[in-house]
Amino acid sequence: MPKHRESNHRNGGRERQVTAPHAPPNAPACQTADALLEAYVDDEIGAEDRRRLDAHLAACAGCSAQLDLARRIRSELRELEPRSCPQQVTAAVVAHAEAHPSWSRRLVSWLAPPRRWQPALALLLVAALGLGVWYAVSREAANQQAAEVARAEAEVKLALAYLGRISQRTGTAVGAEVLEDRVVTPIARSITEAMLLRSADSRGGENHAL
Amino acid sequence: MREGEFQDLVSRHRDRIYTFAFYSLKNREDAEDVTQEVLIRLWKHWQRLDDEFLTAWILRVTRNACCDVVRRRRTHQGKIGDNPHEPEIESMASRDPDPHREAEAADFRRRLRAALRTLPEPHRSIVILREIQGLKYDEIAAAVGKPLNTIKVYLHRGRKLLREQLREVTAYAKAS
Repeated sequence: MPKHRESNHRNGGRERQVTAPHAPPNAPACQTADALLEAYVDDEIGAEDRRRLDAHLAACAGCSAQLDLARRIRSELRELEPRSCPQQVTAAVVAHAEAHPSWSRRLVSWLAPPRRWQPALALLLVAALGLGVWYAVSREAANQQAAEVARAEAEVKLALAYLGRISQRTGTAVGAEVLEDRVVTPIARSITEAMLLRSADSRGGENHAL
Repeated sequence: MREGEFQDLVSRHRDRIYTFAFYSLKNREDAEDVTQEVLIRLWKHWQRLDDEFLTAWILRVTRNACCDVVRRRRTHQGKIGDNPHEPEIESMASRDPDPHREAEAADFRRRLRAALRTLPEPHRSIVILREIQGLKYDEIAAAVGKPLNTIKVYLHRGRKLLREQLREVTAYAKAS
């Protein structure tokens, strides 16, 4: 059997009629051709390989028959019709889906309140949200106030220390009544005014935002 | 819940699943069982699946289910044999006015389908997905989980294996 391949190749295909076209490829040239046939059928072969294969196929009846068979197999496979899924399969799946709802659907149906409660629950939710916002805003304002008082206290202490130092240097004794009238009262007044002004501003800002 | 959406998915994919299972197993009942199993698994998971990977997921699950059936058959029967009771659907529709040629063509198709079932994996799946179902190489690569060039190699090897099996049949037909 191998003889036909070699002789065909050498004689340019003159012995095609006497070959056994369906014999397995044994000659090296036929084996190379056989390995390339499927890619050749799919047109996924390089130009140089295609040229060499074309030359071989023109000379070799066996490989040429293999090419026909490869083409026929590919064509017959492509003619096999897609199958339609029987209706009862789909019906069984839909029945299963209805009988076994998914976990997310079960969770939603378990958590969902009765319809008549829904408006009241919606109102409750809105009220809870409003309360939360009010609490957050007032807490923020209180924190701000406390910080300002602490800062003012620190400033007063620094001012008093500074006055004490000056009076020591100059040898001047400053009476408590003088400090009260000239320093403590004006500072306290200015702090109070500043705080009132700031809280009025923040209320105005909230009203504006609402 | 979007039950309608799930039913759309079923309508879109059921034939693809069934066709793959049918040609992979060549037994209607097994193909129906596999299709039902895959669609029920789809029902359990579809909301968590990304649309982009849905087809690949479905094909992978289908292929695994078919492989399980083949494995079970091997266990029960010792080997996969041709089912003599399977009706020859294609042969019912006459394509050729010459009865001898038509008989030869029907015989060739029957043997081709039988040979297809004997291909090893993943050759069989790749041949079915590419040649019968007409999927693109990249879709097959996603479904089978192998690189695109490897898919081409398996496809060509798979068809070559079919050719080797059918070579004798064709030779016999020509000789007679």
